[in-house]
Amino acid sequence: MTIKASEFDRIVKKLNLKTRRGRDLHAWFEHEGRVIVRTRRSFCSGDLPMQHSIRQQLKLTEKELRALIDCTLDLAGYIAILRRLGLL
Amino acid sequence: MMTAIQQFPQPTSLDAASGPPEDRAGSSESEPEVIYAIHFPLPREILLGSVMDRRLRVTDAMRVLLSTEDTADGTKVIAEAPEINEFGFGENISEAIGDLQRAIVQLFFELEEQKERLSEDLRSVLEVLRRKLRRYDDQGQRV
Repeated sequence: MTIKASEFDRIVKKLNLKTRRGRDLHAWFEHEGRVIVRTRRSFCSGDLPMQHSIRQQLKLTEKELRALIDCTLDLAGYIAILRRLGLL
Repeated sequence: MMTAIQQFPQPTSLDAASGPPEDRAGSSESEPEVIYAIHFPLPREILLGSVMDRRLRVTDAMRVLLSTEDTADGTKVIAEAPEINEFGFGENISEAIGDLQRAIVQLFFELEEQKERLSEDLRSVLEVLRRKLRRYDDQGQRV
């Protein structure tokens, strides 16, 4: 399955991920000063392969990732997921 | 150990009178050129023994899973390193592995830079990388 670059960027904005531009766009989620998860995307503008890897890096199920892209899952919801997984 | 099988498909353009180049000594130059393609099936798994960066040497090869994925831009080759939850992709296996190698180098230095504030999950990724990679300085001395 693929994820669109614009969808990835929507996630970055929504989760307030810190980013660094290099050869790829590196993004990581910080909570209370700690780096919790990280992911990256290439700068190609179309479909990004490896949706499942990006999803795994963000510690989400397929359904949760879809909800994040579709705006039914917000930052508070994401934090709750990470807490449930014992990552926070 | 995985074995690559060579497949020799039929030539894409070959009339009944022609054959491989050595069999066509008398053929006219206007005949279409026959291209013999050799397809190596993608191995499902390889061991990565280098990250192509002089600052890092692989001391314990990393398991890399290879697969393909269809996108709107065509089929991409995917290289995944499940031990560190990292991946690379490209038009072919070389590009995918190159992308993964660069991603591993970036990941290593990024995690080292932020090592004091990593989550347990990311700290365990850094530990795996430290076990598998040896760091060298600009003079080639081990760090």
